[in-house]
Amino acid sequence: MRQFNYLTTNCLLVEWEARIDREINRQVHSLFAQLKSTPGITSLVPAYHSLAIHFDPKHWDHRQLQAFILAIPEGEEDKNEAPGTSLRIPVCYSPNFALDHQELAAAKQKKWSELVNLHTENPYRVYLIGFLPGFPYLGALPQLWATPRRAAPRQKVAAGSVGVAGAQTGIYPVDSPGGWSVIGRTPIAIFQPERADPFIFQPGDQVQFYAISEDQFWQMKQQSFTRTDLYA
Amino acid sequence: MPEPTAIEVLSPGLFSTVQDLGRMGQQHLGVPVGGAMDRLAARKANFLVGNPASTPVIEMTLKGPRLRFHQDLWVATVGCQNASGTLSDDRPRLARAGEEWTIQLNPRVCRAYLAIAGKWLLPELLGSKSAFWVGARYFPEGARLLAGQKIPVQGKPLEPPRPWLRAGKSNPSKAIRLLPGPEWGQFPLSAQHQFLQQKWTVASQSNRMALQLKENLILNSTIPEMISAPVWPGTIQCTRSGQLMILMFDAQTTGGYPRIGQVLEADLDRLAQCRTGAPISLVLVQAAQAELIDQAYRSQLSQWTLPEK
Repeated sequence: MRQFNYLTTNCLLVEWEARIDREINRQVHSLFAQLKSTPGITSLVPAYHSLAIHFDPKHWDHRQLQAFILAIPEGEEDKNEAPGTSLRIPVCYSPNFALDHQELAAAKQKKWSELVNLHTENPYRVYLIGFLPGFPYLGALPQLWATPRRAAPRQKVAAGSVGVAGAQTGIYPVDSPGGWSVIGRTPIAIFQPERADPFIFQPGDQVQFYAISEDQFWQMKQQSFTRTDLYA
Repeated sequence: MPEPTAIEVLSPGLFSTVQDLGRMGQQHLGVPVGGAMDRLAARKANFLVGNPASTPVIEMTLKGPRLRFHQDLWVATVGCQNASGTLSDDRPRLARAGEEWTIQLNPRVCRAYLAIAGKWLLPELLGSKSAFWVGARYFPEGARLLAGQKIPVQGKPLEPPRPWLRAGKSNPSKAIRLLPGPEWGQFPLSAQHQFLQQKWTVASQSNRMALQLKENLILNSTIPEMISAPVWPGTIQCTRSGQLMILMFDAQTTGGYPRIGQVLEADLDRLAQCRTGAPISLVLVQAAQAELIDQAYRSQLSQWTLPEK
């Protein structure tokens, strides 16, 4: 069940049941997709189980917008397909990039190659983008992969590093401090500030990782990729 | 058409950035709203020199920059005071080529704004020239002022001169007005009471991302863990230890701390002007009243807004 709440006088907050859940998040993104091109909507912030809808008060008030949303047919809800675009993202899981591979393999009592196979087995959804501009929160990880945050965050995690924390996996868009375990690195620049469209990911995308060798990593690192180059 | 020329930054002051209306509409990508912290003050500065509201201004914090002008340019400031050869608010002044100005902030403000009549030839990122901190540096290039930097500007004559509007007083209330945040109801009554009774003080760690409050909220019982959810400038977050943070324009777009309150849009400008040690008290208003207050604020913004060319 959805609930409608105030965030600000010109922002309606729609909240679903408070769980990190594929189906709930799919509904968030379904509404997000439907409102993207609605006139008078100034900004949308999708998260795990809620969507903030900022509106121009010259076009809408809280009650009108709520009525408009309630009138959107929920026909899509029975489809299993999410509205997002599918992207394929190469990741090098070699020990040089997977800084925490030993600890993780020991904790899970699996070979690293088995864990890598499991990490690349199924696509993940971009549940939301947050923390840093362009940082995708991807889920849900297979149960075996669930990993607590590192006790001591690293001062610097390299741009492109793939991390895991809880049931989430994500990619650092820039060099930054970080508390997630690092399991690999992608050669794709997911934040390209010199471009008009600097981000690779959009919320709601479906992301399929695939493993590459170090040689392939350095080769691909020379090239530049845009979002459309990565379409599955 | 005058040649594009430069304002040279001799010293940048404490923290000076280029700001415009920010990056509204990009928050689903994790991009902060950005833009001037005191939005009305920035509008006034642009209005006085005849610029549309979307023109960038320099936002100056506590200590202003020293600038050299390489061309005659019309300049207006809001939040500054008279000093040797510089400015006072409320009317534009002509800076002559070769002049050097030290911009001094009024000691009552935290942030002041400087507008130049004309166009700023600076790079954009995501539709805005506002300084945008990512990872460890500012984008786009030049948006945080540094000594020796030259800002290319295409000046224009000032016509017609714009008068300072004697428009209605912005805010009769001393307290910062807010709506209950989405998690307000999860706080114990004692904490809710303290939240509204306490005389809060702005802590020194405050910046464009958030104002931190020095005193803590006393939490006798644990607030349930929260799944990350949308936040916005004005959202007041409470950490597990009871530390309060009022998010401002460069804040993250989602957060995992309970949102106890939401400051009205109309009162964010006042928060932007709070220096370390400034006292703050908080008062809840009803949604209907909040609508009227914000509406009045927006009509004040539009009074100081010239049409886009």
